[in-house]
Amino acid sequence: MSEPFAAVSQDLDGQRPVTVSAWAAVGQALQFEGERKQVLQAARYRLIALLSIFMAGFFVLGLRAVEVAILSPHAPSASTYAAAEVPRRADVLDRHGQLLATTLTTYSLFVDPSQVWDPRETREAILTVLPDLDVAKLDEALGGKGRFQWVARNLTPKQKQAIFELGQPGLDFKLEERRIYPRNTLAAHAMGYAGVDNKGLSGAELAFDQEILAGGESGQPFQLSLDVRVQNALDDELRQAMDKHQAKGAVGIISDITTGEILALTSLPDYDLNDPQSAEGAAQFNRAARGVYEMGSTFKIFTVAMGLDEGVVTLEDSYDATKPLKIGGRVIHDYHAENRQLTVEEIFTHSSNIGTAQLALDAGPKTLQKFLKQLGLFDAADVELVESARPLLPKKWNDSTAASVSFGHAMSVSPLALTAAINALMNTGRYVPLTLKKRGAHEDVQGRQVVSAETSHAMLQLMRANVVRGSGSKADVPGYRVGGKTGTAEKSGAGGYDRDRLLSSFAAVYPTDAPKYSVLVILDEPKGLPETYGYATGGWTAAPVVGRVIARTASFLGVERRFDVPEPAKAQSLAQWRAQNDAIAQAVTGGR
Amino acid sequence: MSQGLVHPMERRRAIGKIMGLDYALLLLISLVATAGVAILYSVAETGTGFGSWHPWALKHLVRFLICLVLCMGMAMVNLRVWLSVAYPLYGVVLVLLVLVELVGKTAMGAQRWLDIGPVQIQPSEFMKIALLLALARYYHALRDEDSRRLLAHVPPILMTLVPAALVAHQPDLGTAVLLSLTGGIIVFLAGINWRVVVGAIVLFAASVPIAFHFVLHDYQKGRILTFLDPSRDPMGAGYHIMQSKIAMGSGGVFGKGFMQGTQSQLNFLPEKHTDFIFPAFAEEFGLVGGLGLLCLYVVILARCLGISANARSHFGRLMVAGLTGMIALYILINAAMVMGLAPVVGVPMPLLSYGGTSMISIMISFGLILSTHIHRHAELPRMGHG
Repeated sequence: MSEPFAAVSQDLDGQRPVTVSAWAAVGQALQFEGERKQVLQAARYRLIALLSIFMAGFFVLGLRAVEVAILSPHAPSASTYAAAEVPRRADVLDRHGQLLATTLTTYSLFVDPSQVWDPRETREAILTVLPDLDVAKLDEALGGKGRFQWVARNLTPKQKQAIFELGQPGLDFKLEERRIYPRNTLAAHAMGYAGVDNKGLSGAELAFDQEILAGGESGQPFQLSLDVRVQNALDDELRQAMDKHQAKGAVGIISDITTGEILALTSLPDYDLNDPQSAEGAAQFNRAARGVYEMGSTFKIFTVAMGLDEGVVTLEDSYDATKPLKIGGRVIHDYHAENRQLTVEEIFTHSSNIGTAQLALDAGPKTLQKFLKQLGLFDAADVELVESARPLLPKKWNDSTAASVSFGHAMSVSPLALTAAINALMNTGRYVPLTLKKRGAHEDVQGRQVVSAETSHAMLQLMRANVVRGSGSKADVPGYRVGGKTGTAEKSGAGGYDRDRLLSSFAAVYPTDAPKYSVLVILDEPKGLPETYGYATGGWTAAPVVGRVIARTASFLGVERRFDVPEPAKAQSLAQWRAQNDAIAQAVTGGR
Repeated sequence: MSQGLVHPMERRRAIGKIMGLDYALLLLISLVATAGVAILYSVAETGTGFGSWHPWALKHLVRFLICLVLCMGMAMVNLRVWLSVAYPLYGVVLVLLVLVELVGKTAMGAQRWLDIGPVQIQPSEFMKIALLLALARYYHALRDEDSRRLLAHVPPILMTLVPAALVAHQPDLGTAVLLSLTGGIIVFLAGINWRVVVGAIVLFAASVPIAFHFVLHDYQKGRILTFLDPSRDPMGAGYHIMQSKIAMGSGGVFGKGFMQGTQSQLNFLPEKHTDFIFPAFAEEFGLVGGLGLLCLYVVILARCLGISANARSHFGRLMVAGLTGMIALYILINAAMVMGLAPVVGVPMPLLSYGGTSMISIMISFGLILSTHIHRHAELPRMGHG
């Protein structure tokens, strides 16, 4: 079998022009005869074998081309990818239609590891477009098991195109909805946020998850009770106060006491809703709903209201506060001891622990327990927020605990629960659950009567008197008839209560002659300043904040500044007050 | 042409040689290259749409024209010259391959490129040609009685396997397989015993599982697994293949029309200007265009084999058969790959795919084939044997 080709060429002799194809040449060769015929034919067979293999190859390719062209899958339309169901969330608006949250469509990159041919090459390619990706995590995704691993979420259209142009196998995109919060930190804890999977994770986004998703389907925005203007003022003032007093935290709640709607809710520190991962532990904590605190003297509102409503005392009665009160092996002092007989109004305006405790003891622990329970203080605040926390209650209700609870110790409640309870006492005695959802214009708000209108009226008088001539004077705003009660609780730590760590608060309602709005401000561990004479109490730290917030927002809320409403010389009964008001009205209208 | 038949090749005048060029073959080659220019023009994106001389079409055209001149120039060169440079060329390219191993530049995750000043060259591409020249040279010098002995075929087999191993180590499995196959074609045509051929095929088949486990890189295994095991990929093949088939399928029988191929234009098709240019072509010109292009290639290959059969020298005959076999393998492997019949290996479509190295190596091949055609009657000395 040597040199078969050489033999052929000699026989061919080269006398013919080269127009023959290989086939013709092969055919020609087969006709040759001679001693090397066998060798020659063997050689030609080899060439034929080679040619046949090539031609068979081309034949198969031709068939395949026909199959692919006629039977192949057709190009997927863009909708094939978009059809991957992504729940869309509705826009969230404030009560006046201002945008709080909206949704943008973005692209998220995933990889099917089984289709990646060279993880190293794919990784380098991806990193040219997204240099900030965590390389270790990227490697994990590229080498991962299964057919789906996220690489990067919420890419911009430009990034998406750049990845697309890498032409790397195994990479694909999913259309995703990205939640955008245009006001960043505003009402962060009330608004809450939704995660990349479009599930609400906190705040209103979690509380109203179903409604917001349903709204997304029908294109209906979801309206909260919040008022961006009021919220802005509250956020701003609380932030300033927190800075000024170097407080650890702050809470502010402004609500409509007649409807229960929360107009503003702030918990500081807070975070940018667009970047919830940036929130550190404290910033993620919604103090207004999840935090429960011993509130201190704001609880005297409840004790006094109970005393009046249960007929234990009248506004004219008085208690002996000449000396500290001994009970259950401990002694109750007054913060600013008057060391004299105090009327119920004075107990309230001087915030006397001794007087309040005696009132509670007169009523009895059972009565106090029942009363607080009625006000919803034994449960988590009745509001949509999932964060709303249950209170910490004393295990036993005896005289000692009743005395402690009467001025806001021995039980811890959330700021929202406190607000709801105070609101009930100011709203002609009707308890209305709080809500973050805007109520319809003609919605009939069902309330639950917890105290009489008479008691409610008396409490409003006391609240106003406390601002006019008591511990809450710093909350007064001329013309807006602000009433309120201070609270200063020593925080309990290891080994008892700590005088230097205070929870200072102020609970206000206005206008007291036609009560409509409540404002609660709490500062956590504020420091005293020279201008407050070193005091860090509610009256010196929280009350001024309430005053400023009311001054900034009352006009938006339609509260009229009035200077013709007489200040009560002392707390009046409802009958007395009505008579006086009628007389004024008559004078104004000329006795018609 | 007639005077060439009468007189020895050496005395031919240049004008006669030019007249003697295989113009039909040159025309066929130009047709394919023109199709390449057209499709590269179509898939290029401009600021406002598609269809642009930049970045590929113009370069492709210029490269082709330069290479065409080079190719015709090579055709003028006597076969004797090619015979004499065969061994030195093989030696030089082998050294370059070793250099790549030592100082090569890594591109796309593989070490295939040598950076020589402004030019980057890929020695593995030129090794295919150098190997064919050297093998043809070897068998040309072999005496009839020597070629009967099996031992005589050992040097060519080693000459093939050494560069193939170097290239496989880069790693460039596709080129290594191509080298082995083209070398094997020459050894086969040169008359090695049938039993050895059958034995080699059996041995190869047996070594595949071993090589798969111990030699292949993970990504190479992945490609083969993706190709072999549909459950790794329920759509039928990998992403490239899927997009490629979609592009061809969406072209249908008559195609979408020139510059209308949305799959390739919108970047669904990766590497649309290089390895995956055939589906881009088929999308716009349809099944008719795709089959037409394949037929064009078949005609070119048949014509080249005709040149091989009509060459008087053993060297020319074997060299042309080997070069033709190599070009055929390029076409077959590339087309099989883009249609999902073979695993994806980086093999370009001759004359159609964009790429300098590929264009130069293909046109050098045609230059050698044309040279053999012009000098088909030359008797070459059997070096070492008088």
